[in-house]
Formats: sequence, C-alpha cells, structure tokens
Amino acid sequence: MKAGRWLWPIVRVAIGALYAYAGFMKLIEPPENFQAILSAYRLLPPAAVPALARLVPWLEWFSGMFLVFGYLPRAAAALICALSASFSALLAASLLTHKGLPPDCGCFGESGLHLTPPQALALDVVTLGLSLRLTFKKP
Amino acid sequence: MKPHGTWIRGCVLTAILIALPLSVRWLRLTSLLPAEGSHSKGSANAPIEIVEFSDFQCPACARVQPHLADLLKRFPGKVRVTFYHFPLRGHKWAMPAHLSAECAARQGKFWKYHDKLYQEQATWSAAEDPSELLLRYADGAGLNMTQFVSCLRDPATEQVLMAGRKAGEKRAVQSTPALFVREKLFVGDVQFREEGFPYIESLARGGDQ
Repeated sequence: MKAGRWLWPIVRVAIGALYAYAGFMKLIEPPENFQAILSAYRLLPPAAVPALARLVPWLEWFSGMFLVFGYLPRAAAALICALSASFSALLAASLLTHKGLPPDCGCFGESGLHLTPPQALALDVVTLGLSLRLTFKKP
Repeated sequence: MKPHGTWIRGCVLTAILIALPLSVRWLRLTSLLPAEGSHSKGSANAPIEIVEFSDFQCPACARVQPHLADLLKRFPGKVRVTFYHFPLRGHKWAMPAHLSAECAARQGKFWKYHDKLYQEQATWSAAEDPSELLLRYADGAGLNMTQFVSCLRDPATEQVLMAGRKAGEKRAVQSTPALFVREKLFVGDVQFREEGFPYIESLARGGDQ
C-alpha cells in the first residue's frame, strides 16, 4: 500500500517521459520521415497519412510532457491511453494481416531507440494498461 | 485564483512545448549543405534545385531517377539536381557502389556511372560479390582503371562519401530517397511521385524566378 504512494508518481513520470521522448524525436525531424513509415504499414487510408504524420507526434509530445509535469494528468493519461490503444491496434492488425511491416516501427524517430513492430506492440500494451490506471485513479 | 493560475501555467507550458521542437527542427533543416561529396546536373543558375540523398542499392531511389531525368529534360535551365551520397547501413553493397561512383567522379564520369549503377541495380546488388561488375562498369565508362582502383583504395574517397552522409544526417535524413526542394522534403518514391513531382512542375511552369 505504502509503495503505491511513490510508485505511481514514478510510473506517471516514466510513461510521460516515454511519450514525450517519442513525440519530440519525431517533431525535430521533417514530418515526411514519419509519413513514409506510416505509409509502409499499408493499413491506414493513404489520404489520412499526411495529417496523422503531423498530428500524432504533437499529441505524444503534449500528453507526455503534461504527464511529466503533472498538468491535467488524467486528461494526459487518457490521451496516452487512446494513443496506445490505436498503436496497438495498428501493429496487431499489421502483424496479423502480414501486409508488410517496416523493419523499424518508427516510434522514436531517428533516435538510437529502434524497436521492431512486435517489440513496439508489447510496449504499447504495457503503457495502455498503466495509463488506464493513471486515468481512472488519481496518481 | 487557482483555476486562473492553472490556465496561465498551461499557456506558458504550451508555448514552450510548441517552440522547443520547432526551434530544433528549424535549426536542423536550415543547416548549410557542404559542396564536398555532392554532384550536380543542370544549369548552375537554375531557380529550382532538387537536393537528393540517395543510395545506389535502394530500389526506391532507382524508381525516382526517370522522374528526375524527365524534369531536367522538360524544364532545361529551370531545374538542377544535386546528388549526395547516402549509403544505408542495411545495404551490404552500397558502400562499394558509392565508392566506385565517387571514383568515377574523379575522372569526370560521375553521372554516366551513376546511371549505369541504377540501370543495373538488380544485377549487381544481388551478386554474391559485385566487385567485378563494378570494375566492368568503370571500364565500360571509359575510365582509367589504374586510377580508378587506386582511388577505391584511397581513404580520402570514403571521407568524401561520409561528408555527404553526415550532411544528410544533420538534415534528419533517415531513409532514401530523400529529396529536398526549397523548404519541402519528399521521402520515398511514392511521396516524390505523388507530391514532389507535381510541386516541382508547378514551380517550373509558374515562371519561377
């Protein structure tokens, strides 16, 4: 019980930092890089890809940093839930349909952190669970 | 008071969160490109420059070449293509191909060799060892083979290649082809075909200064 008092704030900051990092590393690159990776998944409507490539990194960056700073933490956690769920669905669908996966999930832009799609799916499922908890219970 | 303070904090945080990545991105994308390691085709005074970071073993890069050739042909004097080496680490024979092309450049035959590499990409990139093929292409291009082989062994040649690659990395190039046209970037042959090509056409037709 007592561990929860310090554990969940750490989880909040860790998830926030992860998403902020992912968003930031994509934002400091031209959006066309992420757009090319999204296109490679071949599951998204092509017309939506340019807009998603520009919107998603901002959502990651803002929700992550808001969570790190504890500003509107539940709203930020809820947004991260939605993002994690979306990423999980996309990755799972890609793996199941074998529609051609990029070797790198593209999750962290050009940073040294390169995950394969299965690794990214595992990470997204974990963050989904943790961010759900953060959304529904005050951290 | 408290809600008011929260809003102010939120506005300040939002402003910082917007400014920070955009500033870093702007600094990266406006970094100057070195002349070293680049090769240009088209008029030096052309108002539209296409800066291409390319990998000779990349199939998408090969697919972009006819579009570039078409633009140069249809808009002479208006379009210029500048090539930078960007051999990808995952392509086993990219470095030898780029070294060979750079050595062809030293004898004034870069573009001839460049075109040959893309035309024969399927052949040499699938070979167990394409060294013999790369030499044969050099011979076919009329290069002095003694100088060519000597150049391949010269460490300075690789340094020239890496200068081009580093310039691309500074501009956040991750995959190829990456084509910069003014402030816009087009990554991959599909983006270039669907967005870049019409953009350049409209610039060229617009009587661009």
